[in-house]
Amino acid sequence: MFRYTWRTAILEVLMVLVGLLFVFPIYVLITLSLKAPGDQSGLLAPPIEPTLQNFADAWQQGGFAGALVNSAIVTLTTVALTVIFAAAAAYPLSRLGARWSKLTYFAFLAGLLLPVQLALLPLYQTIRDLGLLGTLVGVIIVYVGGGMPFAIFLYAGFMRALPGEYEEAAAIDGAHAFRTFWSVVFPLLRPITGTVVILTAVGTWNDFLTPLLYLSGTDQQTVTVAINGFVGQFGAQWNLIFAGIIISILPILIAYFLLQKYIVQGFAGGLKG
Amino acid sequence: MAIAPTVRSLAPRKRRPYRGFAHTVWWFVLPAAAFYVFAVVYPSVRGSLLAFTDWDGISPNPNWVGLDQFGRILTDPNALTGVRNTLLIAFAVTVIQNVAALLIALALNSRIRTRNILRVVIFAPVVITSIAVGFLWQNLFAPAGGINEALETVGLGFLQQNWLGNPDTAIWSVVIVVFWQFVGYSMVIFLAGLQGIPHEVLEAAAIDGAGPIRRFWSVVRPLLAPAITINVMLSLIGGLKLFDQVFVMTKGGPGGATNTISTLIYSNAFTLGRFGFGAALAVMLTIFVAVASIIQYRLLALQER
Amino acid sequence: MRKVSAVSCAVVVATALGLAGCSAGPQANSGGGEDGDTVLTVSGFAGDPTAEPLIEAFEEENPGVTVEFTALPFPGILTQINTELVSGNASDVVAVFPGNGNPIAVHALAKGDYLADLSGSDWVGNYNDANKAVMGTDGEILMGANAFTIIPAIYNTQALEAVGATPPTTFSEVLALCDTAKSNGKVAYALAGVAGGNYPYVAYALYATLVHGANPDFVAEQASGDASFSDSEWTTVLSKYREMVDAGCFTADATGTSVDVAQGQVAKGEALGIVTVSPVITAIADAAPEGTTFQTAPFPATDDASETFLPVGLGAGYGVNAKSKNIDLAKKFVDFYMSDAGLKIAVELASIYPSAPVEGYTPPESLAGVAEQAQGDQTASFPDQTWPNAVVNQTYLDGLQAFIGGQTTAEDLLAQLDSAYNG
Repeated sequence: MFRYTWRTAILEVLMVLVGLLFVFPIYVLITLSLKAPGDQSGLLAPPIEPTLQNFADAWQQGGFAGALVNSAIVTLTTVALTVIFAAAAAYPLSRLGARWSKLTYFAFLAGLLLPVQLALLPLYQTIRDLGLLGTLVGVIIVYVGGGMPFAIFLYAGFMRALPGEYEEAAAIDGAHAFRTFWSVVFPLLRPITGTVVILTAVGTWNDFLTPLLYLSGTDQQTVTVAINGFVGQFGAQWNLIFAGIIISILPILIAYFLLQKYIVQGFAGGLKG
Repeated sequence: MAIAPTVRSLAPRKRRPYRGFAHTVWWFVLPAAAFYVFAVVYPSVRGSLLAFTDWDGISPNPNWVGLDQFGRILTDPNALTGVRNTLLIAFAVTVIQNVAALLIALALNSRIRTRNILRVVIFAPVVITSIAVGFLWQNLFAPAGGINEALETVGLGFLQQNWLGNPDTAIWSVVIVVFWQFVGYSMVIFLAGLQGIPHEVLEAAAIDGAGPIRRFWSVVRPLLAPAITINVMLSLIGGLKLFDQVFVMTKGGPGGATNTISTLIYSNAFTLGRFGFGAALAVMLTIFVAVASIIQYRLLALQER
Repeated sequence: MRKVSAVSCAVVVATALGLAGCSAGPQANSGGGEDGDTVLTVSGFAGDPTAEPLIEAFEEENPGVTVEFTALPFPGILTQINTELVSGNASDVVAVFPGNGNPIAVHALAKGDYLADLSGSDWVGNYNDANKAVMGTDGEILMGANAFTIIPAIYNTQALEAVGATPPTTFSEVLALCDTAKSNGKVAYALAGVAGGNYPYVAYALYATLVHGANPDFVAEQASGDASFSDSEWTTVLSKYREMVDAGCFTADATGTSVDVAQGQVAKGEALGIVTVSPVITAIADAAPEGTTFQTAPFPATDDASETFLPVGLGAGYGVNAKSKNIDLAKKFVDFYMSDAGLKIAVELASIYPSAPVEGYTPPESLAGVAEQAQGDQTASFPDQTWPNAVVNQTYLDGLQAFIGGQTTAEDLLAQLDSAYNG
């Protein structure tokens, strides 16, 4: 286990094979997107003449530019609000032993159990009554509210394991409490914030049902709705569809590669003990 | 509710909780609570009330029908298939995903040189949009699709299947897709847990002459207990609520063989106009998730002691 | 309403990273014009080639009117328009289906009075009672549908010639064609058995001759409780369907085949033909190699060619949102869509079969084989349009999948349909 022995080598080979199995679907995704529609090479063979034409066509016909901007606005705003509100809420909930804070914490966690379908229609009607249907604001409110349970769960777990010494010096009156929290406590939460950011961003960017319901009927599409309409429109043209899919997942993949080291760190912070 | 004690158990137990200036900032909870009540609590309560009506999604004035809708679940063959599928998928995903994720995490916690790239590769599907994953695998599972082609290429042509068209393989195809998509998620949590285990502990056990399996069982497993708890809980809840992948790949077919409670809630409420019935299914699903979480927490809590 | 959204927009933007562009505000609802123009909102099908030209022509004829069109893909459109109508925020003009069977079919929507009555319009006189019965209910007309959908067998002419065959006119010839196709390494009929596939239509085609053809009063008898699925010629429909499956008439692994793949098989000549709805001929032709032509014929179900009935039904169309603030303008739009000028646009741009006479219309070459019969008496409407609720339709779609895959027997399927019908 601690030196590179022949056992390690076998394990290495085995794991590379496992890795290849995981890459296979992505290989098909990329290969097909690079093949010209008339390319007669086998399904799994690399393209004879790789072309980016599918990407150009998908970009032009799928309306992805506007959708990407909308998804970016929704995702960034949702992430920012979720981090601020969940970190702030988790602080008293994890630091106080009071009855109300325990109950409130449980009430938040109960949200993890509720299936979204239960709230779908009533929420739709409320959003409509507020005149927020078809606006990105409506969608953001839905996401921020729905994202609270898991984000608070992660923050509270992390904070319980965090030593309190730093805050001692900073004990201060309520008026400046948030600034103190923001400048003293929040920076200590960086690892778990990384986790919350990436998970919230992935969940928001990838969600389909919410924007389908709240945004169609306007030109405010997000990428998932755009890709669904795109598949409906181009039926069997998988080269084009896969190019569109790659366009839709590229931004979040890039964000993941940039932030990926925080993920293990964040979870590790939450699991320490 | 079952989740809370888990978190507590993740934290050091002995230290008196330091309160800092927390007692003056109870109002920090308010923005989060406002959004949460607005977007989750209030609409869920209103949604649950629909379960006691016969609302068809169209008529303006639904009638109260008490528990009738719940009674109908027990006599509706589609609903029963959906319940069975949901339990099967949740159980299979929970077991397969966690065992595999643990093995992968152990392997990638070793000295192998490709461990960093493999971590990235195996986690990558987690960030791909579920509907994109669904479309991708729908294409791979097609009768003339990538899976059958690959089996032919490596000389395993006899294993070719009509994956999504045969009810026996369709449900497992769904499990494979969910596994592919989320095993990285569990792996990362296990890796995080393994980071907390000092190498000296493992070394000491190695010197004692404990074999790999005993070493794992008696040394690693107890220390990993928090990670196991979280992983089992997340995969169980995720499996019970499964919707996107089924909705895109099979629409619940063939012949309703891959319907889950979530897809049935959607189709009953939004295409069949049986909102009351859909709401009753949603209430039942909520109860399932709650009960499953409590049971599994109790079982795993025993492990952690 | 604007105020609320503006305030929360400001809050969100300020609290977040000061992101620009919390865009737009509500725009789905029309109402007053923004720059003097009256705005009419229309929700229709994504990929409908006639929508845009129709709207342009309508705007030209009505200066000062701007039409905002929302294209919604099937089947999401069902949920979308239904939810919007129930919630009161649907477009002024919405796509709807005739009869019953889905959440935006007019009989289902009539229960909540979500659609405005159009019975005062001139075009209503062009339709017979059977058509009016599925376009509305209780003496009201709730939609206009400009096209008939026909379910013929569509053949790839070159593929058919290559195996030396002609379109079969009897059921025995159908089975013979299956053998011919197989011995040439092809399949006779492409079949997509996944959701959204053409598998329900094969049974509709058999139903037209075997059930409706044999007893034109079947629908009425079933409605009054004097007939049922189980105790009717539906049993023959299923046994002939089974016969075709067993004879290898259809795409192998049909239960896992998507509609695009099946249509592609006909386009490329891997399958000789397909039994499906006429509007998809355009899509099949688009996917076909240059020079491929297609022809249609009624799909036979017995060994007497003169007994063959053709399934012909009104297709989807437009209705007017009863809560629209522009009801008169919305009605004007539907009237225009149903007018001679509107029909001409549709006829020119899509291979549709107009539901009312159009001056100078000749059916496209591909529909020549069924055009004459479609106008005559030997037609049957689609069974699902008269089913009393959406559950029957869902039971039919799910159960038939299982039947083709061999997981359900004909008796069980028909019993399930009866219980859904009476449920």
